[in-house]
Amino acid sequence: MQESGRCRLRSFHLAVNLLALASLYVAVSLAAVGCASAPISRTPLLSVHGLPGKTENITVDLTAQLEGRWRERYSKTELRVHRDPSLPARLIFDWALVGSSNIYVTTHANVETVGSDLLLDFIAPRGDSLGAEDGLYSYHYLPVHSFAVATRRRQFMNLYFLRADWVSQHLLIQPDALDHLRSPDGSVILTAPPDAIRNFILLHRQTRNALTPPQRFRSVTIRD
Amino acid sequence: MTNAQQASRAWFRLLCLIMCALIGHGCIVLSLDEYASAGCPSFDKAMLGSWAEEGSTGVWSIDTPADAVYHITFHPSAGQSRNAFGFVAKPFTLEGQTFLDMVPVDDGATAADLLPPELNAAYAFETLHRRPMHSLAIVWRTQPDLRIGFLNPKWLQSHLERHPEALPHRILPDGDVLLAGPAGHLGKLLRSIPDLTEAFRVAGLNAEATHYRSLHRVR
Repeated sequence: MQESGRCRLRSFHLAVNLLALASLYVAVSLAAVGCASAPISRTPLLSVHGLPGKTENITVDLTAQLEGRWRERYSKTELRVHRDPSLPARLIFDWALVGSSNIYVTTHANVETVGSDLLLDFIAPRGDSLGAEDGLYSYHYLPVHSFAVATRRRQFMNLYFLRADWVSQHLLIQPDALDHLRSPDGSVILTAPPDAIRNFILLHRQTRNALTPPQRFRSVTIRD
Repeated sequence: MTNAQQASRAWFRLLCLIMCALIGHGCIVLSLDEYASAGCPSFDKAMLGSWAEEGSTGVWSIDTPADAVYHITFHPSAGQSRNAFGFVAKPFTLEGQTFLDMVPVDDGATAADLLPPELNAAYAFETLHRRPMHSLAIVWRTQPDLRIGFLNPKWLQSHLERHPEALPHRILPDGDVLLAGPAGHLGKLLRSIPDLTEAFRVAGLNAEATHYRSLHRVR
Protein backbone atom coordinates (compact mmCIF):
# COMPACT_ATOMS: atom_id res chain seq x y z
CA MET A 1 0.00 0.00 0.00
CA GLN A 2 2.82 2.33 1.07
CA GLU A 3 4.78 1.27 -1.99
CA SER A 4 1.84 2.10 -4.22
CA GLY A 5 1.48 5.57 -2.63
CA ARG A 6 5.20 6.27 -3.07
CA CYS A 7 4.98 5.18 -6.67
CA ARG A 8 2.02 7.51 -7.28
CA LEU A 9 3.92 10.39 -5.64
CA ARG A 10 6.96 9.70 -7.80
CA SER A 11 4.77 9.70 -10.91
CA PHE A 12 3.21 12.96 -9.78
CA HIS A 13 6.64 14.56 -9.29
CA LEU A 14 7.77 13.29 -12.68
CA ALA A 15 4.65 14.75 -14.30
CA VAL A 16 5.20 18.10 -12.57
CA ASN A 17 8.83 18.18 -13.66
CA LEU A 18 7.91 17.30 -17.22
CA LEU A 19 5.23 19.98 -17.24
CA ALA A 20 7.67 22.55 -15.91
CA LEU A 21 10.23 21.55 -18.53
CA ALA A 22 7.61 21.76 -21.28
CA SER A 23 6.50 25.19 -20.05
CA LEU A 24 10.06 26.41 -20.02
CA TYR A 25 10.58 25.06 -23.53
CA VAL A 26 7.39 26.73 -24.78
CA ALA A 27 8.34 30.02 -23.09
CA VAL A 28 11.83 29.99 -24.57
CA SER A 29 10.45 29.04 -27.99
CA LEU A 30 7.84 31.81 -27.89
CA ALA A 31 10.46 34.33 -26.85
CA ALA A 32 12.71 33.22 -29.69
CA VAL A 33 9.86 33.37 -32.19
CA GLY A 34 8.83 36.75 -30.85
CA CYS A 35 12.33 38.09 -31.25
CA ALA A 36 12.64 36.68 -34.74
CA SER A 37 9.23 37.75 -36.02
CA ALA A 38 9.09 41.21 -34.52
CA PRO A 39 11.84 43.19 -36.18
CA ILE A 40 11.39 46.92 -35.80
CA SER A 41 9.35 48.01 -38.76
CA ARG A 42 10.97 50.45 -41.14
CA THR A 43 7.73 51.12 -42.99
CA PRO A 44 6.99 54.83 -43.05
CA LEU A 45 3.53 56.14 -42.30
CA LEU A 46 1.62 57.50 -45.30
CA SER A 47 -0.53 60.61 -45.44
CA VAL A 48 -2.84 62.22 -47.95
CA HIS A 49 -1.73 65.69 -46.85
CA GLY A 50 1.81 66.96 -46.58
CA LEU A 51 3.27 69.37 -44.06
CA PRO A 52 1.96 72.93 -44.00
CA GLY A 53 4.95 74.27 -45.91
CA LYS A 54 6.08 76.84 -43.36
CA THR A 55 9.23 77.76 -45.16
CA GLU A 56 9.99 81.15 -43.63
CA ASN A 57 12.69 79.63 -41.42
CA ILE A 58 14.29 77.64 -44.18
CA THR A 59 17.65 79.08 -45.09
CA VAL A 60 20.23 78.02 -47.58
CA ASP A 61 22.47 77.03 -44.66
CA LEU A 62 19.84 74.61 -43.37
CA THR A 63 19.13 72.81 -46.61
CA ALA A 64 22.83 72.84 -47.43
CA GLN A 65 23.30 70.52 -44.45
CA LEU A 66 21.72 67.73 -46.48
CA GLU A 67 22.94 68.65 -49.93
CA GLY A 68 25.66 66.51 -51.39
CA ARG A 69 26.39 62.85 -52.05
CA TRP A 70 25.65 60.22 -49.44
CA ARG A 71 26.21 56.52 -49.07
CA GLU A 72 24.91 53.87 -46.69
CA ARG A 73 27.37 51.38 -45.26
CA TYR A 74 28.11 48.48 -47.62
CA SER A 75 25.73 49.93 -50.19
CA LYS A 76 26.48 50.01 -53.89
CA THR A 77 24.09 52.89 -54.34
CA GLU A 78 24.52 56.56 -53.72
CA LEU A 79 22.05 59.24 -52.73
CA ARG A 80 22.56 62.62 -54.35
CA VAL A 81 20.68 65.42 -52.64
CA HIS A 82 20.34 68.81 -54.25
CA ARG A 83 18.00 71.75 -54.03
CA ASP A 84 15.15 72.27 -56.46
CA PRO A 85 16.15 75.51 -58.22
CA SER A 86 12.52 76.61 -58.50
CA LEU A 87 11.54 75.89 -54.88
CA PRO A 88 13.92 76.95 -52.10
CA ALA A 89 12.40 74.61 -49.52
CA ARG A 90 12.43 71.50 -51.67
CA LEU A 91 15.23 68.98 -51.91
CA ILE A 92 15.55 66.42 -54.67
CA PHE A 93 16.79 62.97 -53.68
CA ASP A 94 18.33 61.11 -56.61
CA TRP A 95 19.45 57.51 -56.22
CA ALA A 96 22.24 56.24 -58.44
CA LEU A 97 24.78 53.47 -58.60
CA VAL A 98 28.14 54.37 -57.17
CA GLY A 99 30.34 55.71 -59.93
CA SER A 100 27.48 56.05 -62.42
CA SER A 101 26.15 59.28 -63.80
CA ASN A 102 22.71 57.73 -64.45
CA ILE A 103 19.89 58.70 -62.08
CA TYR A 104 17.43 55.86 -61.73
CA VAL A 105 15.06 56.86 -58.94
CA THR A 106 14.03 60.31 -57.76
CA THR A 107 12.01 61.43 -54.77
CA HIS A 108 11.18 64.96 -53.68
CA ALA A 109 11.12 66.25 -50.11
CA ASN A 110 9.68 69.51 -48.85
CA VAL A 111 11.71 70.79 -45.93
CA GLU A 112 10.68 72.37 -42.66
CA THR A 113 12.60 73.02 -39.48
CA VAL A 114 12.21 71.27 -36.12
CA GLY A 115 14.60 72.96 -33.74
CA SER A 116 18.06 72.56 -35.20
CA ASP A 117 16.98 69.56 -37.28
CA LEU A 118 14.96 69.29 -40.47
CA LEU A 119 11.61 67.72 -41.06
CA LEU A 120 11.29 66.12 -44.50
CA ASP A 121 8.00 65.62 -46.28
CA PHE A 122 8.67 63.03 -49.01
CA ILE A 123 6.50 62.71 -52.09
CA ALA A 124 6.94 61.05 -55.46
CA PRO A 125 7.67 63.53 -58.22
CA ARG A 126 4.94 64.28 -60.71
CA GLY A 127 5.24 62.03 -63.73
CA ASP A 128 6.82 58.65 -63.35
CA SER A 129 10.36 57.85 -64.17
CA LEU A 130 9.95 54.34 -65.49
CA GLY A 131 6.36 53.17 -65.26
CA ALA A 132 3.86 53.08 -68.08
CA GLU A 133 1.83 56.26 -68.29
CA ASP A 134 -1.69 57.16 -69.12
CA GLY A 135 -3.88 59.78 -67.53
CA LEU A 136 -6.52 57.26 -66.55
CA TYR A 137 -3.99 54.79 -65.24
CA SER A 138 -1.78 57.20 -63.32
CA TYR A 139 -4.79 58.95 -61.83
CA HIS A 140 -5.61 55.70 -60.01
CA TYR A 141 -2.43 56.19 -57.99
CA LEU A 142 -3.06 58.64 -55.18
CA PRO A 143 0.06 60.68 -54.35
CA VAL A 144 0.81 60.27 -50.65
CA HIS A 145 3.43 61.68 -48.29
CA SER A 146 5.81 60.17 -45.76
CA PHE A 147 7.70 62.09 -43.09
CA ALA A 148 11.18 61.90 -41.65
CA VAL A 149 13.29 63.86 -39.21
CA ALA A 150 16.73 64.45 -40.68
CA THR A 151 19.78 65.18 -38.59
CA ARG A 152 23.26 66.10 -39.69
CA ARG A 153 26.10 65.31 -37.30
CA ARG A 154 29.56 65.85 -38.75
CA GLN A 155 29.85 63.62 -41.84
CA PHE A 156 26.69 61.63 -41.07
CA MET A 157 23.09 62.19 -42.08
CA ASN A 158 20.41 60.22 -40.22
CA LEU A 159 16.82 59.85 -41.40
CA TYR A 160 14.17 58.83 -38.85
CA PHE A 161 10.79 58.07 -40.46
CA LEU A 162 7.46 58.29 -38.65
CA ARG A 163 6.56 54.62 -38.20
CA ALA A 164 3.36 53.22 -39.67
CA ASP A 165 2.97 50.41 -37.13
CA TRP A 166 3.49 52.67 -34.11
CA VAL A 167 1.00 55.27 -35.35
CA SER A 168 -1.48 52.53 -36.23
CA GLN A 169 -1.32 51.17 -32.66
CA HIS A 170 -1.46 54.67 -31.21
CA LEU A 171 -4.61 55.45 -33.22
CA LEU A 172 -6.27 52.27 -32.01
CA ILE A 173 -5.89 53.60 -28.47
CA GLN A 174 -6.55 57.24 -29.32
CA PRO A 175 -8.60 57.27 -32.54
CA ASP A 176 -9.21 61.01 -32.31
CA ALA A 177 -5.53 61.91 -32.08
CA LEU A 178 -5.35 62.36 -35.87
CA ASP A 179 -7.93 62.08 -38.62
CA HIS A 180 -7.18 58.90 -40.55
CA LEU A 181 -8.55 56.04 -42.63
CA ARG A 182 -7.90 52.35 -42.33
CA SER A 183 -7.56 50.53 -45.62
CA PRO A 184 -8.99 47.01 -45.98
CA ASP A 185 -5.52 45.55 -45.29
CA GLY A 186 -5.52 47.33 -41.92
CA SER A 187 -2.90 49.91 -42.78
CA VAL A 188 -3.44 53.52 -41.80
CA ILE A 189 -3.46 56.51 -44.12
CA LEU A 190 -3.54 59.88 -42.42
CA THR A 191 -6.17 62.32 -43.64
CA ALA A 192 -5.46 64.93 -40.97
CA PRO A 193 -4.73 68.49 -42.12
CA PRO A 194 -1.09 69.63 -42.49
CA ASP A 195 -0.87 71.58 -39.21
CA ALA A 196 -2.21 68.63 -37.21
CA ILE A 197 0.39 66.33 -38.78
CA ARG A 198 3.21 68.73 -37.98
CA ASN A 199 2.04 69.09 -34.37
CA PHE A 200 1.75 65.32 -34.03
CA ILE A 201 5.31 64.79 -35.25
CA LEU A 202 6.63 67.52 -32.95
CA LEU A 203 4.76 65.95 -30.04
CA HIS A 204 6.06 62.45 -30.69
CA ARG A 205 9.50 62.92 -32.18
CA GLN A 206 11.03 61.94 -28.84
CA THR A 207 8.46 59.20 -28.11
CA ARG A 208 10.01 55.76 -27.96
CA ASN A 209 9.43 53.74 -31.17
CA ALA A 210 7.44 56.51 -32.86
CA LEU A 211 10.27 56.95 -35.34
CA THR A 212 12.20 54.25 -37.16
CA PRO A 213 15.80 53.47 -36.24
CA PRO A 214 18.08 55.80 -38.17
CA GLN A 215 18.80 55.20 -41.80
CA ARG A 216 22.40 56.31 -41.69
CA PHE A 217 24.30 57.86 -44.57
CA ARG A 218 27.90 59.00 -44.66
CA SER A 219 28.94 61.97 -46.71
CA VAL A 220 30.90 60.96 -49.78
CA THR A 221 34.16 62.80 -50.11
CA ILE A 222 36.37 63.12 -53.15
CA ARG A 223 38.65 60.45 -51.66
CA ASP A 224 35.70 57.98 -51.76
CA MET B 1 20.74 58.32 -67.86
CA THR B 2 21.18 57.58 -71.54
CA ASN B 3 19.77 59.82 -74.26
CA ALA B 4 17.29 57.11 -75.20
CA GLN B 5 16.05 56.89 -71.60
CA GLN B 6 15.80 60.67 -71.36
CA ALA B 7 13.83 60.83 -74.58
CA SER B 8 11.59 58.03 -73.37
CA ARG B 9 11.02 59.77 -70.05
CA ALA B 10 10.21 63.06 -71.74
CA TRP B 11 7.80 61.22 -74.02
CA PHE B 12 6.04 59.66 -71.04
CA ARG B 13 5.62 63.04 -69.39
CA LEU B 14 4.28 64.65 -72.55
CA LEU B 15 1.87 61.76 -73.02
CA CYS B 16 0.77 62.02 -69.43
CA LEU B 17 0.04 65.73 -69.85
CA ILE B 18 -1.91 65.10 -73.04
CA MET B 19 -3.91 62.27 -71.50
CA CYS B 20 -4.67 64.30 -68.39
CA ALA B 21 -5.87 67.12 -70.64
CA LEU B 22 -7.97 64.65 -72.61
CA ILE B 23 -9.54 62.97 -69.65
CA GLY B 24 -9.38 65.90 -67.30
CA HIS B 25 -7.61 65.76 -63.97
CA GLY B 26 -9.99 64.67 -61.31
CA CYS B 27 -11.73 62.61 -63.95
CA ILE B 28 -12.61 59.74 -61.67
CA VAL B 29 -13.67 59.19 -58.08
CA LEU B 30 -11.09 57.30 -56.06
CA SER B 31 -11.91 54.94 -53.25
CA LEU B 32 -9.73 53.27 -50.65
CA ASP B 33 -12.15 50.34 -50.42
CA GLU B 34 -13.38 48.26 -53.32
CA TYR B 35 -16.81 48.93 -54.75
CA ALA B 36 -17.58 45.41 -55.92
CA SER B 37 -19.37 44.31 -52.77
CA ALA B 38 -22.03 46.97 -53.43
CA GLY B 39 -23.83 44.54 -55.77
CA CYS B 40 -23.97 40.96 -56.98
CA PRO B 41 -21.01 39.45 -58.86
CA SER B 42 -21.64 39.20 -62.57
CA PHE B 43 -19.72 38.27 -65.67
CA ASP B 44 -20.38 38.95 -69.35
CA LYS B 45 -18.26 37.15 -71.95
CA ALA B 46 -19.29 39.76 -74.52
CA MET B 47 -16.76 42.12 -72.96
CA LEU B 48 -13.83 39.83 -73.74
CA GLY B 49 -11.66 40.57 -76.74
CA SER B 50 -9.78 43.52 -78.19
CA TRP B 51 -11.17 47.03 -78.34
CA ALA B 52 -9.97 50.38 -79.66
CA GLU B 53 -11.12 53.93 -79.10
CA GLU B 54 -11.78 56.21 -82.07
CA GLY B 55 -8.62 58.20 -82.82
CA SER B 56 -6.43 56.15 -80.48
CA THR B 57 -3.54 54.13 -81.81
CA GLY B 58 -3.47 51.63 -78.97
CA VAL B 59 -5.65 48.62 -78.26
CA TRP B 60 -7.43 47.62 -75.06
CA SER B 61 -7.54 43.89 -74.52
CA ILE B 62 -9.96 42.34 -72.07
CA ASP B 63 -9.41 38.79 -70.95
CA THR B 64 -10.17 36.80 -67.88
CA PRO B 65 -8.14 34.49 -65.70
CA ALA B 66 -11.36 33.23 -64.10
CA ASP B 67 -15.08 33.93 -64.45
CA ALA B 68 -14.97 36.59 -61.80
CA VAL B 69 -12.67 39.36 -62.95
CA TYR B 70 -11.46 40.96 -66.16
CA HIS B 71 -7.88 41.84 -66.90
CA ILE B 72 -7.99 45.04 -68.92
CA THR B 73 -4.69 45.90 -70.60
CA PHE B 74 -3.79 48.81 -72.84
CA HIS B 75 -1.29 47.88 -75.52
CA PRO B 76 0.36 50.83 -77.22
CA SER B 77 0.72 50.58 -80.97
CA ALA B 78 3.96 49.30 -82.44
CA GLY B 79 6.67 51.91 -82.48
CA GLN B 80 5.52 53.63 -79.32
CA SER B 81 8.22 53.46 -76.68
CA ARG B 82 5.91 52.88 -73.74
CA ASN B 83 4.91 49.97 -71.63
CA ALA B 84 1.55 48.24 -71.60
CA PHE B 85 -0.48 48.94 -68.48
CA GLY B 86 -3.68 47.65 -67.11
CA PHE B 87 -6.37 47.16 -64.55
CA VAL B 88 -8.11 44.38 -62.75
CA ALA B 89 -11.85 44.95 -63.03
CA LYS B 90 -14.40 43.16 -60.85
CA PRO B 91 -17.86 43.21 -62.46
CA PHE B 92 -21.03 43.44 -60.41
CA THR B 93 -24.67 44.27 -61.03
CA LEU B 94 -26.97 46.54 -59.16
CA GLU B 95 -30.64 46.76 -60.13
CA GLY B 96 -29.75 45.05 -63.44
CA GLN B 97 -27.04 47.56 -64.30
CA THR B 98 -23.43 46.36 -64.71
CA PHE B 99 -20.58 48.18 -62.99
CA LEU B 100 -16.84 47.55 -62.77
CA ASP B 101 -14.65 47.99 -59.73
CA MET B 102 -11.30 48.93 -61.28
CA VAL B 103 -7.90 48.91 -59.67
CA PRO B 104 -4.61 49.45 -61.51
CA VAL B 105 -2.23 46.54 -61.88
CA ASP B 106 1.08 47.45 -60.37
CA ASP B 107 3.62 47.87 -63.13
CA GLY B 108 6.40 47.52 -60.56
CA ALA B 109 7.59 44.24 -61.98
CA THR B 110 8.10 45.80 -65.39
CA ALA B 111 9.76 48.89 -64.01
CA ALA B 112 11.92 46.93 -61.62
CA ASP B 113 13.15 44.85 -64.56
CA LEU B 114 14.65 47.99 -66.02
CA LEU B 115 16.46 48.87 -62.81
CA PRO B 116 19.76 47.58 -61.50
CA PRO B 117 18.78 45.28 -58.59
CA GLU B 118 20.75 47.43 -56.15
CA LEU B 119 18.18 50.19 -56.66
CA ASN B 120 15.09 48.10 -55.94
CA ALA B 121 14.85 49.42 -52.39
CA ALA B 122 15.02 53.02 -53.61
CA TYR B 123 12.35 52.23 -56.21
CA ALA B 124 10.16 50.61 -53.56
CA PHE B 125 10.48 53.75 -51.45
CA GLU B 126 9.48 55.93 -54.38
CA THR B 127 6.48 53.79 -55.35
CA LEU B 128 5.32 53.77 -51.72
CA HIS B 129 4.30 57.38 -52.36
CA ARG B 130 1.79 56.42 -55.05
CA ARG B 131 -1.03 54.40 -53.53
CA PRO B 132 -3.27 52.38 -55.89
CA MET B 133 -6.96 53.20 -55.48
CA HIS B 134 -10.26 51.83 -56.77
CA SER B 135 -12.54 53.54 -59.26
CA LEU B 136 -16.09 52.82 -60.33
CA ALA B 137 -17.04 52.38 -63.99
CA ILE B 138 -20.41 51.69 -65.51
CA VAL B 139 -20.88 49.44 -68.54
CA TRP B 140 -23.64 50.99 -70.62
CA ARG B 141 -23.57 48.37 -73.33
CA THR B 142 -21.32 45.76 -74.93
CA GLN B 143 -22.99 45.57 -78.38
CA PRO B 144 -22.21 46.77 -81.03
CA ASP B 145 -19.59 48.90 -79.25
CA LEU B 146 -18.37 48.84 -75.67
CA ARG B 147 -19.55 51.92 -73.82
CA ILE B 148 -18.00 52.64 -70.45
CA GLY B 149 -18.35 55.66 -68.17
CA PHE B 150 -16.84 56.64 -64.83
CA LEU B 151 -18.51 58.08 -61.75
CA ASN B 152 -18.43 61.83 -62.25
CA PRO B 153 -16.49 63.57 -59.43
CA LYS B 154 -18.26 66.89 -59.97
CA TRP B 155 -21.66 65.28 -59.65
CA LEU B 156 -20.56 63.44 -56.52
CA GLN B 157 -19.04 66.56 -54.95
CA SER B 158 -22.22 68.46 -55.55
CA HIS B 159 -24.28 65.57 -54.14
CA LEU B 160 -22.08 65.32 -51.03
CA GLU B 161 -22.33 69.05 -50.44
CA ARG B 162 -26.09 68.59 -50.20
CA HIS B 163 -25.96 65.22 -48.42
CA PRO B 164 -22.62 64.96 -46.58
CA GLU B 165 -23.75 61.86 -44.69
CA ALA B 166 -24.62 59.94 -47.86
CA LEU B 167 -21.14 58.41 -48.20
CA PRO B 168 -18.12 58.30 -45.88
CA HIS B 169 -15.49 60.42 -47.60
CA ARG B 170 -12.58 62.83 -47.25
CA ILE B 171 -11.56 65.80 -49.35
CA LEU B 172 -8.12 65.49 -50.94
CA PRO B 173 -5.66 68.41 -51.07
CA ASP B 174 -6.67 69.18 -54.67
CA GLY B 175 -10.35 69.32 -53.69
CA ASP B 176 -11.29 65.91 -55.11
CA VAL B 177 -13.34 63.43 -53.12
CA LEU B 178 -11.80 60.25 -51.71
CA LEU B 179 -14.40 57.66 -50.76
CA ALA B 180 -13.68 55.52 -47.74
CA GLY B 181 -16.03 53.07 -46.19
CA PRO B 182 -18.21 50.07 -46.89
CA ALA B 183 -19.44 49.75 -50.47
CA GLY B 184 -22.99 49.27 -49.20
CA HIS B 185 -23.38 53.02 -48.82
CA LEU B 186 -22.53 53.48 -52.49
CA GLY B 187 -24.98 50.76 -53.50
CA LYS B 188 -27.72 52.56 -51.61
CA LEU B 189 -26.81 55.84 -53.27
CA LEU B 190 -26.77 54.34 -56.78
CA ARG B 191 -30.14 52.69 -56.21
CA SER B 192 -31.61 56.05 -55.24
CA ILE B 193 -30.55 57.81 -58.47
CA PRO B 194 -33.31 57.78 -61.09
CA ASP B 195 -31.04 58.75 -64.02
CA LEU B 196 -27.48 57.43 -63.85
CA THR B 197 -26.29 59.28 -66.97
CA GLU B 198 -25.74 62.48 -65.01
CA ALA B 199 -23.81 60.67 -62.26
CA PHE B 200 -21.59 58.97 -64.85
CA ARG B 201 -21.02 61.88 -67.21
CA VAL B 202 -17.41 62.12 -68.36
CA ALA B 203 -15.84 65.42 -69.27
CA GLY B 204 -14.17 65.04 -72.64
CA LEU B 205 -11.80 67.20 -74.60
CA ASN B 206 -14.71 69.05 -76.15
CA ALA B 207 -16.86 71.35 -74.12
CA GLU B 208 -19.78 69.03 -74.69
CA ALA B 209 -19.63 66.24 -72.16
CA THR B 210 -20.57 62.65 -72.80
CA HIS B 211 -21.49 59.95 -70.37
CA TYR B 212 -19.39 57.23 -71.95
CA ARG B 213 -16.22 56.36 -73.81
CA SER B 214 -16.94 54.26 -76.83
CA LEU B 215 -14.67 51.42 -77.89
CA HIS B 216 -15.17 49.37 -81.03
CA ARG B 217 -14.12 45.76 -81.41
CA VAL B 218 -10.91 45.10 -83.30
CA ARG B 219 -9.44 41.85 -84.58
